[in-house]
Amino acid sequence: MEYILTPEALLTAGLIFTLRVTDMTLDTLRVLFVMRGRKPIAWILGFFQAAVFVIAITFVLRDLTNVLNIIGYAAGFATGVVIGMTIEERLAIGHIHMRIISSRRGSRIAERIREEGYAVTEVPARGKDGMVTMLNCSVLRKNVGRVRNMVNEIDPEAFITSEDIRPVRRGFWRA
Amino acid sequence: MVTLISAALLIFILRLIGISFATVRIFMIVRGRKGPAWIFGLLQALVYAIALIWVLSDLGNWLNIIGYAAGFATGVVVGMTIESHLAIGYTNIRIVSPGRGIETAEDLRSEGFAVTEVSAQGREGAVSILHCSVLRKDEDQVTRRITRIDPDAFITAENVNLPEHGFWNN
Repeated sequence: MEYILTPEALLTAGLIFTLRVTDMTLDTLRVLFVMRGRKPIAWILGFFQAAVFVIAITFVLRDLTNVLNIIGYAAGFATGVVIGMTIEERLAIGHIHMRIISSRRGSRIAERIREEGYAVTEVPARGKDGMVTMLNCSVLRKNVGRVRNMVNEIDPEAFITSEDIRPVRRGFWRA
Repeated sequence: MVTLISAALLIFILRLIGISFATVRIFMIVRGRKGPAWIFGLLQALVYAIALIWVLSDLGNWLNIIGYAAGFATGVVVGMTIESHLAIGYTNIRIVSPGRGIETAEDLRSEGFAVTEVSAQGREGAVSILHCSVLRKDEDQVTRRITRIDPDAFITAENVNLPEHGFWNN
């Protein structure tokens, strides 16, 4: 125990933690960019992730012989994953297709969203209790929250789902 | 010989467990689930660290290398299987039915699923497009019901996010 808690041992464990956070943050971002088909960014992230990993393994990662280092290693790994996901969420790169189903206020929602400059396609549809409106709205990912709030203001009961899409032809995107 | 094989087997098992966790973690990342991603990341790293001390440093013979590689590959498949059993998240099922759209919709509604019908045009005339958002674990059940009523129905499914309000059959 005395050995474990020397400042030197703590420093090593901290270093392992930091290095693992860094490389797993980059790794997580890379996985998400690969999934969205962003080749150049994926390359850059892959390069730096591998570089950090190689440096880490040469210096400290070999030395997983005490409990403190193992904890630093595992906690750093897991925390890096979450940080990577948070960064990717903030960047919010990409496009989202939102599907909004509203039983009565479909056209009012469409008008309101259009006022703000987004493109909406209305489709009449039938639900369990009669006619409903299905709105299709493709937006930049960073605008999803704003559109969702507009919909909720007008019809708190609207049913909203969203999915990742890739734009095939440009069409109309509110910048 | 026995110790040689058991060492290779141990490497296989540790790699299998570690990579299973890694695979589930990647699924959680892609679906934006931070909590599970953290936990599976932690488990993966712990298994890896233990394996490294114990056996992974000894990749000096062929048997161990085969154990390592086979464990890795099997872990990927096991992880994918675990993830599909966990079935976290939501799916939007889109059904294109030439003749039996209304019947299919009514049948799904009688089971408590929410369905939105849209009339559309196909090569042979009018068709219905049904949109049905369900929990991922109900996906198979819904698909089976649809194919029983309309074996010709064209069914696709996609993962969807941020469900808000509306009606989920729990």
